[in-house]
This record gives sequence, C-alpha cells and structure tokens, in this order.
Amino acid sequence: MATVSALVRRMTLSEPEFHLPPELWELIFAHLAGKRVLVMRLVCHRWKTIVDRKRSLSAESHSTIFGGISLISASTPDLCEIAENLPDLKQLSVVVECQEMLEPSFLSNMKLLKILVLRSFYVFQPLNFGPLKCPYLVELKLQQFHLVANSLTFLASSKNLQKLSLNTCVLESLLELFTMLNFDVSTFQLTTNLESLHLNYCENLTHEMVNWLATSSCRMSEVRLDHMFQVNDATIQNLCLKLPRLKKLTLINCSVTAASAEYIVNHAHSMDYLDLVGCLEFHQAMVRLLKGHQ
Amino acid sequence: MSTIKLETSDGVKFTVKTQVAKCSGTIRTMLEDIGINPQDGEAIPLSNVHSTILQKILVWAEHHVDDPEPPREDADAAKRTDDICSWDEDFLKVDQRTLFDVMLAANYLDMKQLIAVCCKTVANMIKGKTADQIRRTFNIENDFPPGEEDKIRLRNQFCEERSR
Repeated sequence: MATVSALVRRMTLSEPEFHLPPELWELIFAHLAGKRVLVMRLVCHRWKTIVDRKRSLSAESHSTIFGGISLISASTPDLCEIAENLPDLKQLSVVVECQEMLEPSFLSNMKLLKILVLRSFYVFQPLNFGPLKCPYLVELKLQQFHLVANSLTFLASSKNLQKLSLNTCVLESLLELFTMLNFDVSTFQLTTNLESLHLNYCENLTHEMVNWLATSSCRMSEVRLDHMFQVNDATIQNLCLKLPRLKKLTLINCSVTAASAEYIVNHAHSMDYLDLVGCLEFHQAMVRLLKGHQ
Repeated sequence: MSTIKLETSDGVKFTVKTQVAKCSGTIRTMLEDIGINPQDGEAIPLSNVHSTILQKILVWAEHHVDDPEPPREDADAAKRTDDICSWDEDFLKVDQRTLFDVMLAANYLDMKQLIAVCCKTVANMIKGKTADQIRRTFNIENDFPPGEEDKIRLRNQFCEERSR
C-alpha cells in the first residue's frame, strides 16, 4: 500500500512531464540527434517509448528516399509492423532485440527485399528462418545468431542469393544434422548461386563444413575467412581446386601454413587479390614464392 | 479592419484582428473552410485554451503577423536550435509550466512556427544534460525498475558502437 504522502509526491512529480503529448515530445526530440537521443532513452519509460517509436518512424521516411531501412534496435512486433507498412522495401538493416526464438516470418511480406542485415543484441540469439521465401534476396548478413536446425536450408532455395556473411554465428543445423546422421559432408553437395562468402568467428563450424559452404557454388569469386581457426591447408587446397572463379581471398588469423602458399601460386589462376593478416608463416612463404616468380 | 471574437476555456472574450487570428491554422480553417461568419459577432470558442495563455499567444501572433511564409526547410536546417530570434527568446523566458501550456495551445491552434520555436527552446533545455539532470529539469520520475536503467545504458553503448 502506498502512503498518502508517497501518492501526493508521485502526482506532483509526474504531472508536469505528462503535460505534453508524445507527438510534441517527438517534435522536440527531432532537434536532438545521435548520442543525445540515447540519453533520453534513460530518462523514463515514456521517453524511451517515444524515442524508439520516433526512430522507427524516421526510418520509414528514410526508406522512401533510399528504399532501405536501418534501425538501431527493434523487436519482432516492430519488424512485423515495418513489413506490413513497407512491403516494397529493398533493404533492411536492423539490430534485433528479442529474447525468444527469432522467426523472421515478417520477411514473407517483403517480397522485394534484396539486402537483409540482421544483428542480434544478445549473443547467440536463436534464429530460425524456416521456409524463407525471399526470391529477390541478394545479400544476407547475420551477426551473433544461433541458427537452429535446418535454418540454412533456405540457402538452396534462394536462387538469387549472392552474398552470405555469418559473423559470430553458431550453425546448429549443420553440426547436429551431420553428427546425428553420421553424415559424410564431402559427398553431400549443397548447390547455391553464392558469389561471396564471409565467415567470422564461427567457432563450431568444422573445416569440412567451411568447405561445404565455400564450395556450394561454382560461381564463388570472393571468400573471406576471419578468425576461423578450423581453416587449415586442406581447406585452402579444396577452395583452389573447386572454385575456378575465385578472385578474392582474405584470410585473417587462420591456421594455414606455407604449404597453402605454394598451392595458391600453382593452382589459383583467377586470383587477383589475396589478403593474409595474422597468417605469418603463410604470408612469408607467399612473399618468397612470388619473388621467385619474378 | 475586420476583427473576430475568441472565447477561451475560462469564458474570457478577446477581440482580435482577423489577420492575427489567422496565424492559427485551426481558426483559419474555421473561417475559410467551415465558413463561420465572424460578422455575426459570435465568439469562436477555444475550449482548450486558457485566457492567460491566449493573451500570450496573441502577443506572439501580433509580432509575427507579417512574417513571410517560411521556406520549406531542409532537414538539417530544421534540426538547428541556435536560430531562435532574440524576440522569441525573450518571449519564451517563462516558467516551464507556461512554456508547456503555450506549446499545447499552439498545437491546438495549429501554429507551426510557434510550435517550432517552443520545441527548439525545450530541446536546448535538454542538450548537454545527463539523464538525471533531465529528470530534475522536467520533474520526471525515474520509473524504471531497479537494474533496468543499467540495462538500457548497456544497450545504448551497443547502439553507439553499431552506429559508428
């Protein structure tokens, strides 16, 4: 039970602010950009709601100019609302704040979406794409997600998907599927039209699975593997062998040695860009070999 | 010169030059679209505006009555808060309650330029303050459950990093 004095205090405290309707606070907040908006989220519950709502509104007006939306933080209902209101959206970039399994069913309303960038606020947020139908999806970037069983099967059906980037993701689908069935990854071919693959800190992917993804498309021309310690000389050899169009290879802190350098020089004839940060031995060998070529 | 009568929520009647009254989009609509005839001598009721506030607003409207129609500003110019003219600045040197009442009334009367200048004034009161200072300025109660504020702060940090 609140005492009378507490109630009186509450009334006098809250009254002046409640004086202005949210739409006027929105107009005021429009004058405050960037960091200041974030401070206002800390003031009280009502202000936080106003700021977050305004943010998604400004994103809407943005979308009419650029055909794309970029949101700092959104929940699943926000995303459903966007999808309903902006079915023609071409580009969506959002940090998702969701505590349950994220099932981006809202994507089924966005048939024209070309670029989707989803980052999770929470580390390893469970994500299930289910039977995703985004026929025009060209680029997909996921960060900090835990892709649950079979979530990646859409890869094979999204025929237009050219760029895939997985950053700090766990891929349960492959892991569990293959260990459960005692599956031989090397014989099961996934066919996609991917042209670019970027994997960063996906710790639970075995090097077979990296192979499997990287060689899923003969069109693959760009592969970037960052902090993937499971990537070894065998992976590189396989890439050179199976990807005739590979032009650009970036390896950052991967466990590759001088053996790969030799293999690349002799086999990867289409390659015109090679970046080797933190692969010291590999790098030195490469330099030596290239000097020999001249 | 034509005049019209306005009646405030507390029953006070004002006789105002039509041109000044038309600074209010709401009154303009009443006169032009709905066709209320001011010659009838009947006062237009403004049930949401108190006489003390209307008096203040009429002073503002009188001063700005000959202002040219503002150009359609681009988004960046509209965001500025340092372009309040000194007359308006002095005009809005009032207690917070009055400022908010003026703003509410301007909103009701649909006076975009007055709303804009009030918004800029309030935005300037927020600028450079911490969340706690803002709460004290506007008498807002921190209604987040314990720990929630830290959580939001953490998220803010995350957003800042992401938006860089």
